[in-house]
Amino acid sequence: MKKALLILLCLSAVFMTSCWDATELSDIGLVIATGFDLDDEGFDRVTVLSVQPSGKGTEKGEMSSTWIGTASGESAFEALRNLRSISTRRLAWMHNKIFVIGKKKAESDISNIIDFLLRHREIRYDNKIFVTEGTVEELFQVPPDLDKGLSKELLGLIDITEEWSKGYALSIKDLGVESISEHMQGFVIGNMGFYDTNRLSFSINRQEYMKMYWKDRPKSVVYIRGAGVIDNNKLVGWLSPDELRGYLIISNNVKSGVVETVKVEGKGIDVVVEVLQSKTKISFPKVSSDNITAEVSVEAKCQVLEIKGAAPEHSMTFIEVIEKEIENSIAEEIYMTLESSQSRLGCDFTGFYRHFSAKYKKEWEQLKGNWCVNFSRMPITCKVNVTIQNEGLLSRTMKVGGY
Amino acid sequence: MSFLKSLFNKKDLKNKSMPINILDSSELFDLSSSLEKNSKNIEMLFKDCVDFTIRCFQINHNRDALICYYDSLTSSDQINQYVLEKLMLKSDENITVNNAKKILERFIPVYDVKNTKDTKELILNLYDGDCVVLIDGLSEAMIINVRQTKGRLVTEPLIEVSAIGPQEGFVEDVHLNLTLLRKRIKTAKLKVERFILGRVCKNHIMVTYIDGIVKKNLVDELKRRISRIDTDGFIDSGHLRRFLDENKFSPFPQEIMTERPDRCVNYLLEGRIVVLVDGSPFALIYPSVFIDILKTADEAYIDYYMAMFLRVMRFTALGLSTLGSALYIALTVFNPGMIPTELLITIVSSRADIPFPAIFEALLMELTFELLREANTRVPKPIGPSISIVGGLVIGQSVVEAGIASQPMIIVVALTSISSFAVPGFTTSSKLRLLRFFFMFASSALGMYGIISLFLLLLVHMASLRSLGVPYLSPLAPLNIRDIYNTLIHAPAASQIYRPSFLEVENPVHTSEASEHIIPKDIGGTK
Repeated sequence: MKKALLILLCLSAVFMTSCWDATELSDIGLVIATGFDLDDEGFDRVTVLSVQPSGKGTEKGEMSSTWIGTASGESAFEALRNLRSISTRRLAWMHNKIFVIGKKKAESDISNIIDFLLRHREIRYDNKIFVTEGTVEELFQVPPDLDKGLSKELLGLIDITEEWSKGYALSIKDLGVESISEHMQGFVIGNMGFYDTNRLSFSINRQEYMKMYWKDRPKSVVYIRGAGVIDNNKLVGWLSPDELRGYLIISNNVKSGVVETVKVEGKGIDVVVEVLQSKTKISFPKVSSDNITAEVSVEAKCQVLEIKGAAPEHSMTFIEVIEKEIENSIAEEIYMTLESSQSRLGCDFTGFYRHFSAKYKKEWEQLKGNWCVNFSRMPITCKVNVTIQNEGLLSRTMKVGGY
Repeated sequence: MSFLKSLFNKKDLKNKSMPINILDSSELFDLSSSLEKNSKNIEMLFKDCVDFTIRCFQINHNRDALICYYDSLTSSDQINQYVLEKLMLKSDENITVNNAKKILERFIPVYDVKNTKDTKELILNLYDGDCVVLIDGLSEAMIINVRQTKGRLVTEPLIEVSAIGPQEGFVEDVHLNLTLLRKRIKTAKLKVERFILGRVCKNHIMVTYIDGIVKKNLVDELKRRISRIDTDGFIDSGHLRRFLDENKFSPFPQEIMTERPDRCVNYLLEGRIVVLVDGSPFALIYPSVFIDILKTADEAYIDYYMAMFLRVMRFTALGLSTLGSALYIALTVFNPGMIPTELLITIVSSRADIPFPAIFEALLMELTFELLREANTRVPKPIGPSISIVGGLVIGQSVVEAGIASQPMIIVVALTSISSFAVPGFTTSSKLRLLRFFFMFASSALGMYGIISLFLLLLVHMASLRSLGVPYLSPLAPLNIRDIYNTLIHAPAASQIYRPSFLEVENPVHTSEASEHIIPKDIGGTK
């Protein structure tokens, strides 16, 4: 009797669970990338890259298994629903990695998309989101170079952004943090696009090269470079790759890959260094009701990568000269970004408001309504301190020559 | 109706059971002083036995006597040399004594003799290969040991193979097996108690334990259980253990079955009881706990890093072999989000052409493998390799090419099957292997939730299971850290000095603490 009761209890628990939705793998299409556009009639258009393999039995081994589906609707969600009418498989978003927003859509309003992305159960927080200068529909049609599908190539591009520091991939989690914060002051979102080229991007043998009917036609290549700035749920402008790097330094987001080239005055020597580690602090030395000044201080550790021209013997003075030059060059970059933030785009995407509101609560209460104007007037100084930590393998021989 | 009746065999069979053994029957006779009478009775009793010999002879040309024995069990040389020759030819004086004991003492130069008036004892000894001498005028029988053991000699263990360590395995002869134990444990404390069980077969069952280590109650309880069994006979120790299982329906082995004497010695020293069955090369060890499934004989001989590593491997193998296919089904059917994207794409593309749902595919492959395995044990040795060719090549490769099963599925099935060979408990207790089918059904119905529910149910069952009163999950539940250190963990031998306490041994320390300090400090020893 007790056992029967136990079994009944276990069985009843079955009906309380939500994992009844068994789907065989052969029935689902894995959406890897999703794009949002605004089409000419003003409808939301959704484009997806979905992996829908067709098995290995056929000889067409090189056939792409990625399906490009697109549909429109009055809202983003309705467009997604409409997508089902042309999809042969059940679309699953749990393996989605990339979201891209088209320029037109980004310029109109993306609040509904942000809301949808944060609300949807299948979408993971580590997905990356981008804006593109054209439409997503076009972007997704770019043929992949070597991989079987474009999605895989895009994932490779995203992995490399960390090493390059002129491209940026914002995760959905950060998007949530940026866009839901109480007094949103705008944020940066990476730019993904494509350009056309006649250059071959993969090596082939001569025979195949002769066969290629499209050898004279331009080929599209996808890139991640620069960024867009979103303010008030609208795209307000673009950051050049250098400006983006300045932003990454200010927001303390640099992991590696910042390479600076500096000329040493009067000696005809170019020195290329890589920033290994950098730490940025934002402080406000002067805070009064009508006058606020800000200071960006950067501590950076660098490594010498290459020197062009006749390098002098290893000496501390020479290293100090290089350090000075790098400091200037980094500061220049930061000033450039601040200039675009304060005057060109007129929004505090660099995140000064966050530091200010955390430190000066009282003043923030007064200023928060009009922060944008205050920020654009704020004099900001920049202090950079660079130490060259490492000269590479060559340093040893340099020392031997020196002593 | 009568058809139904015959179908279910409604007739009461219990009352129809008749004594099959001579010992219980009314045919049993009493020994009388008349040889003629005795001879007739014996002849009646053993009629139609070709190998039973009754030979009449005269002692000192005047006294009638009779010798009877099974020639299939006795040594004819010994009968000739030590019985017939001594009684018929070499006796200078007249054997006039009317006392069997005296005759044995004076004339029979054999190490094991006895005299009895009990016919039952007489018959039992005949079964064991002794010969019986009856003399006219004596109502007593002389029992002389002239046994000859025929059968397999000690060979390497066939199933529990070990690369290093002793290479002796038990054989079918229980006395030989006892020799193997006795020569390893040289103490009078190694007690061996004999049970003669089986209504027909009269098998010898030896209960072996070390007095002073083992808890006495355990021995008494086991002996009580064994003596209560009333059946025709035991073909093998595997047969006996089915009587001794405390939970008849449990998928877990409630005893250790081994063919290695060194392993038996190890367990005897831990404070367990070894049961040897005549006719079986496998010893049963009671009580046993869950972790014994993972233990092998050679763990004690190899260095402890490797032993620990291998034990962890075997534990993983246990999990893989029971849960492997079930997890694959649950992940692909219910939670594809948990598989890394690249891997999922590979799996999806190999699944794309498969017309069957994952559970069917898994069942198909698992059953095919079980079939191959069964065929391989039945197949005559010379044809063996052909089975592996058919199995490995045809089924493994062609099934994928024909689009019946996907490659990842084959990998999973291969992995689960290989894992099942790595678990020592699986070879002797095959019922554990069936668990994976239940897990597969559970996962195909409810996914991860099903696997976890079934796992919890099994855990509840294991927690309630006992082997000879010892909780099956000890030392994990009830938790005993010292026991875990001494049984589950491998450490330098001198630091593991205790016997497992869940066996409630009488003498808890098996290694003196001083053995840790045998190496002098100045050459790297401790302290």
